[in-house]
Amino acid sequence: MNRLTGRQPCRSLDDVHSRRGLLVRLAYRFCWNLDDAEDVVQSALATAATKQDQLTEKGKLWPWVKSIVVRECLDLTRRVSRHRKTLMAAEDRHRTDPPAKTPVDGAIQSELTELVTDLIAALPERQRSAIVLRHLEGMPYSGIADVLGISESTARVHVRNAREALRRGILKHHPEWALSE
Amino acid sequence: MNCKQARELWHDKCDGRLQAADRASLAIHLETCEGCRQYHEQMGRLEGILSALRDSTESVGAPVVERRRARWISIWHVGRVAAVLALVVGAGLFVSQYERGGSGVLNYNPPLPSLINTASVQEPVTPAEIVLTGISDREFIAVAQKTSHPKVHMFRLYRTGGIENGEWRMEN
Repeated sequence: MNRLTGRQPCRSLDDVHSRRGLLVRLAYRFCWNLDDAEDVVQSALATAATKQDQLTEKGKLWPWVKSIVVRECLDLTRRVSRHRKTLMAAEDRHRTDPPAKTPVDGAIQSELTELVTDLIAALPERQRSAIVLRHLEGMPYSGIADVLGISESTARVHVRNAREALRRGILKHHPEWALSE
Repeated sequence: MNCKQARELWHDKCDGRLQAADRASLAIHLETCEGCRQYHEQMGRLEGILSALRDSTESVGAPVVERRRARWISIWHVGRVAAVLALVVGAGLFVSQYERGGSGVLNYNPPLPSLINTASVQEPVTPAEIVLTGISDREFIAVAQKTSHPKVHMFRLYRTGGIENGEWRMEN
């Protein structure tokens, strides 16, 4: 079986399906919930299958699919946010109890890492997308621009603003973090 | 260089775009400006936190997808004792003399450390039956995969929790 790596060109939806794990990881880094991530990817792949004829640049299949995943994640978090405000849902990312964050291996992240996760979730959508794609997915700015449908310079601005917002957020919750370790 | 420029340059440094001339000017500024030095240190620590966050999620998707994928893929041989056995995930490709859509029984002895139970054939199964011989203490479901070649058969193998009430029970 021909197993594709992330570096090989993605020419068809079969290639995309073989990289499904990478899409789940991307979605997880937005949703922070594995079931939601799997559902998002399944929905995104279905969308991609039905709208593939709308893709005019064949070489852009992979970033196009990733952009669908990102949009689905943002839609989901918007819906969850509205639902949570109404019902005070228990599955929350703004916890008061010490959280167990990562379902894959059960490990609990450091307090600062969890705070940063919450701060990322609270960022405006463009900044959140840009910082996740840049720092968690390790994408170059050209790739971020392709996925988000913006220019590289705009992508840089979003990342910079997101970084600043995260720094301010950490300092607000942990003023002692301002000092050197 | 003023403080606004010095703070902007951290982002250039983080993105690997810091020019040599700016690097020298920045170093001089940081020697004398406590505020900017703290800013650079804080941003460096933030970058470390983001790296840790990335590393902690790096393995998400790969193992779970293999277990959960079976939910979404229609099971090739539904609800019956399977004569179909398949090759282990990652080694599920072989060429047969039988065209897809035809029928026939192929005997195959995979050189694998863990083999699976054979089961009696209840009825012919299309597009082809593949019989593995061997011994195993687990049962599996084989899921056909698409290939572009009519004589290339590819399967993925999913371990099950056995059969209950005539239905395959998938393992989590």
